[in-house]
Amino acid sequence: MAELPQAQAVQDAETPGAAAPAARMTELPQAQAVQGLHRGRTVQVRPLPGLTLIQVRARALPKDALAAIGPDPAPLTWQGPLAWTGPNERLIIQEGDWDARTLERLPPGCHALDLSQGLAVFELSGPGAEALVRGETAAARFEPGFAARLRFADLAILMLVLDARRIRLLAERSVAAWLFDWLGNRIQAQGL
Amino acid sequence: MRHVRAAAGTAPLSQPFRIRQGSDIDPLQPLSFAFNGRRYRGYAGDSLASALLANGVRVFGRSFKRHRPRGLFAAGVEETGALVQLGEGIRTEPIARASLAPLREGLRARTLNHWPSLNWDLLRALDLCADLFPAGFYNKTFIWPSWHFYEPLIRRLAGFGRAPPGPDPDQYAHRHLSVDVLICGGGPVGLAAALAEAEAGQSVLIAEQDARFGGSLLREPALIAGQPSDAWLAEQLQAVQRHPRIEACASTQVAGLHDHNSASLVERHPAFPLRERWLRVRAKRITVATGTIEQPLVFENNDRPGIMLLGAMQTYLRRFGVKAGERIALAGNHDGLYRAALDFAELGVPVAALIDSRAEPNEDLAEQVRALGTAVHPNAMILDARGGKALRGVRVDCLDKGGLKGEPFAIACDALGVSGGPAPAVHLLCHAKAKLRYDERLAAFAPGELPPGLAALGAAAGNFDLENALADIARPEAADGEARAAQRAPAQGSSDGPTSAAAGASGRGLCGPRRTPGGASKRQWVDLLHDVTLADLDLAVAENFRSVEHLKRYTTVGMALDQGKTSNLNAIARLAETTGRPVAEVGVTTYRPPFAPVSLGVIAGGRQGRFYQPIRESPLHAAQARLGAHFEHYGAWLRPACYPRAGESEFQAICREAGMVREGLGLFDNSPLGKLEVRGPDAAEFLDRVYLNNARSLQAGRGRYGLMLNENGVIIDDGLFFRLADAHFLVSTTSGNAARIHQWLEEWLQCEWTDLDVTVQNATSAWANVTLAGPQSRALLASFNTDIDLSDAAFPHQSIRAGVLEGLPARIMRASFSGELGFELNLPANHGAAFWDEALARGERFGAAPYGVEAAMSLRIEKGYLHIGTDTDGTTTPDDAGWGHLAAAKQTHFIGKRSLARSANRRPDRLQFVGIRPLDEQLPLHAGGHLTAPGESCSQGYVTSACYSPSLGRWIALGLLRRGRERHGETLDIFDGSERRRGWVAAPAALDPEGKRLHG
Repeated sequence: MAELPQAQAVQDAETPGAAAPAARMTELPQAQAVQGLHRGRTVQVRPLPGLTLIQVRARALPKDALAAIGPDPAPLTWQGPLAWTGPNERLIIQEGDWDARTLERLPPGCHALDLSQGLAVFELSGPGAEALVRGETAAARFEPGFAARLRFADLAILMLVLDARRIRLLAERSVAAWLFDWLGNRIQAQGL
Repeated sequence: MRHVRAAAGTAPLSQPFRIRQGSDIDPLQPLSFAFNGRRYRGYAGDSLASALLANGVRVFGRSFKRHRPRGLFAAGVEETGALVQLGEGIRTEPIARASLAPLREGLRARTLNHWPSLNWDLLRALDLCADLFPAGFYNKTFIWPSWHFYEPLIRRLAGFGRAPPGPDPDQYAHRHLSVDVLICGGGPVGLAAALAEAEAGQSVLIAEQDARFGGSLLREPALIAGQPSDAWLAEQLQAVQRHPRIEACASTQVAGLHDHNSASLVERHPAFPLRERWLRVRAKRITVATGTIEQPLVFENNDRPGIMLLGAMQTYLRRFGVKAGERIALAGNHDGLYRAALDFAELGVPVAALIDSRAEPNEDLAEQVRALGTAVHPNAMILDARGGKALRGVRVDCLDKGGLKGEPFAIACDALGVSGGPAPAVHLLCHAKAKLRYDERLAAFAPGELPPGLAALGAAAGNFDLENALADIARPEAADGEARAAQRAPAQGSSDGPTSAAAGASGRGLCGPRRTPGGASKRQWVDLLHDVTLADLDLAVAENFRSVEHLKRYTTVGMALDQGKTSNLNAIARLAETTGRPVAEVGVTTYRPPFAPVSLGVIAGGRQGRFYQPIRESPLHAAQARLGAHFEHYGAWLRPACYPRAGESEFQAICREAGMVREGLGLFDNSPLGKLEVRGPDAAEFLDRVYLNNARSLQAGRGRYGLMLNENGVIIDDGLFFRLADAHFLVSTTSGNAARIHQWLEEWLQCEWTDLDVTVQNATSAWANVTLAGPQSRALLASFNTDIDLSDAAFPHQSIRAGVLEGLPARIMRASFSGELGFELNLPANHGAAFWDEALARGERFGAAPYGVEAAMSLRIEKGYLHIGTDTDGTTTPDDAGWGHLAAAKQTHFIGKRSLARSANRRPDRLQFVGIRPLDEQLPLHAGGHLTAPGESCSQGYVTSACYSPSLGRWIALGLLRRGRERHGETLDIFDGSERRRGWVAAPAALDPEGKRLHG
């Protein structure tokens, strides 16, 4: 979990200052939402843990609000580390090292929320990836760069199309296990 | 695209009525199957119907009401006679059409609706007492002594087939598609239209309900532009299959067309292991090229086995090589009869007689048919069909001045092909809100005004001239997709007659009458499926059911599987005749989806078993499972109900867990609690409007209990909201309500209060919540490294602190739903399980153990804490729940405030939240029990929650009771299931009403 959103909360709450004790829990193995792999004939599904996912929201998001992170993507697309998730909302998606201090340069009124541990990410890869997704959503576009929040398997998910054979689905952590099983079931049922 | 290719070789064909190879079957692949326990042989490519017909089977079942023997009537979805129970065991399928069931090795099928056997059905006696079962009989017969006296027997006799004994084991799926053009129907017109659209750059999906493309050409070969239709069709199919912009789906039924050019299609056996797939198609334009549905004739005993639609007879002969009988007669009202007779003769099946109701048939065709030795009877109609379980012959009379001549004569035959002319298959168009017009020349309804984006082509549009229809498609201006979409059904009378491919050249072919003149009888069937006769229709009219919709509902004509395909036109014509109105004025009933029955399995798709709906799990789920938790569904969440130990019942576990919290310490996985981050300079103002309780006066670091109301003043959620900073709140919604409340808040922000600078973000899944409850909770929490001062003075009840706990960022709330000292710890989701395990280990010295939702419920019932959705219903206001004083005191506006002033919300006799104490303390109570005055039966309220209180050693309950607050101490009865118990009304809190225990 990136530090800043939590740190902001600490500052906001004006809690009594005290030296941070030894970080014991952070040394323990972390419980990921899902582990495993579904491998079909034409598609495989694997969870992608460890991504940094920061939701940035504002009443009205300035055009260049996230310029320090990357160019603002057009509606229904993702570009670089940013995905367009609504007129007033972006999702920062970072793999590997990430300097959370970048968020300090957010304009006033922009609020960041760390969802790295609140969202589960699944990558669908292979020629059957599109068929697997088409079974559950009316999303019309499977072009690289497409990003949309959709109803999928009766869930609210964010879909990111990387290329013709790679699609990522982001869902709330609480439904991750169910969704992972669902995808496996659909692969088996449809012979994908 | 799939279709069965006929084998090149030849093999002996052994069935008595199989006279040739047929284009659909493969004689090199014999198949064995059983029908009513008897073994038969067929071939790959056969349908169950064609295989049975080839083996000489004529009776396929018994009719719905009168148990008359019924035979094969059609060769597709319009089948009303050959309905069978297909397969056995868990995969059995009731009311399956034999004509649509592909034959497979080992297939087992049984006939329906008879006792004790198909041939000796004692219930045939119902036909003899048909007067007892007229239209609407259930409204006027069997009324003495009571309908319910007869109902069990009648229900036992009614219905077709048996449902499978268990859950469907087959796999189904859904698929979403977006295309430029959806073409419904893969006949010659549909194929040509698909190619034209694709060539114009459109993406096309073409769906054909049959296993093969080709439509009418498969049963009625013709010349198309001087070319044999077989060759033309092969070229078209090849072009369609190879075209990159066309997806062709055979065996795919368009079940319905819906708003905004969306469509539902069912694809049968699309790919192993799927049985069916539901295609949800969104198209820019939809073209309907579904051809026609052949209409039957109405005469005495027109339901005898051996009487079938002419098109079906042609289909079985051409495609399956099966003749319908040894001595065939044809009857109808158009030129198609003659062409069929010529075609039959060419295939070696002579037609004995042809009965044409028209006075002036096409003499050229008639001469050709006579030359083959067929007796042609123009201007004649069938009076009666003879036979029992098989047709033996018909009596015919000539027409004379609108009546019958009165000189009947007999024709011997064992098969009769009937055709009252084709009617445009307009059902799908009607799904999409197309208007129909009655075409006198066709004696059928044809499409009139079509909505934008919808087009009808070919016979479905009333244009029965194939050459003409294909020429329309090929016109240069039609190459423009929009122009084609704008194309309407042809003007009235554009057709040359109700025939198919070769009709254009004839220049004739107007329909003659479909019903033999004379009075209505109880043996002239209009709806074969529901046993509706002309007499039933006339009776309905006599009883003043003169609207076509009323007629349908009173007589059931056109209902169920038929959906008016073969029954509506004759019924409407009769209604017009008896009421003296033109058919156009009578109109047509509403055709609704689905066009043909759709299995529940394919609608459900993957939503079966544990995939019926999403299941949410806490980040601590695996840790709970390791502890042996008994999980139950609470809304969308799968949560631990309790943690029984060895030898412990669930009840004992719940009591132990609740007692443990009261005495020492318990740990609770409270992760599902909603966590909404509300930020912005107007956050306090926003929450002040959303909550009944005051948000603006809340100080940073403090929390407050709040009730959220809807516009009607009804409580929709409750929980604590905390102020983290001036412009930052954390809203804790009830478990499972986070998404709904988030949506609710967004709606107000986006639609009503656009001036407020506030954002709402849902962080529920990002945090695990470990709740420590009990007098020892502070001691356990203090054993961890933290920078937060946990003392009562520094960290009072209903406050929040953010800090570091064992190196983790944490938000700790001092709050309680148990009535005990409690701390709710929000920790990063990935670290929650590690903390939980550590807390349990450290808690052992305090006697701590986990407690589940059931114990949590017991604890809050003891305290009289409200649980939204359990102790409230869709009418409960704050005053009902005991919070009216807050609403009255709050001066500023909040959602629902105005509604609270409505007289209905201020009535003194409203249901109010109370505690219930049974006099017999050890007898269990259950939620739902009615509260009445002693000895009376009128309900005055009901029990909303009940539990055994281990602390009090007795059963207690909460409830909603009329004027409940002023009735504390009053005795009442609790009607709990079948038992009546005595109890008394009390305050909701049964334990520690002063709240002293909250402070440890």
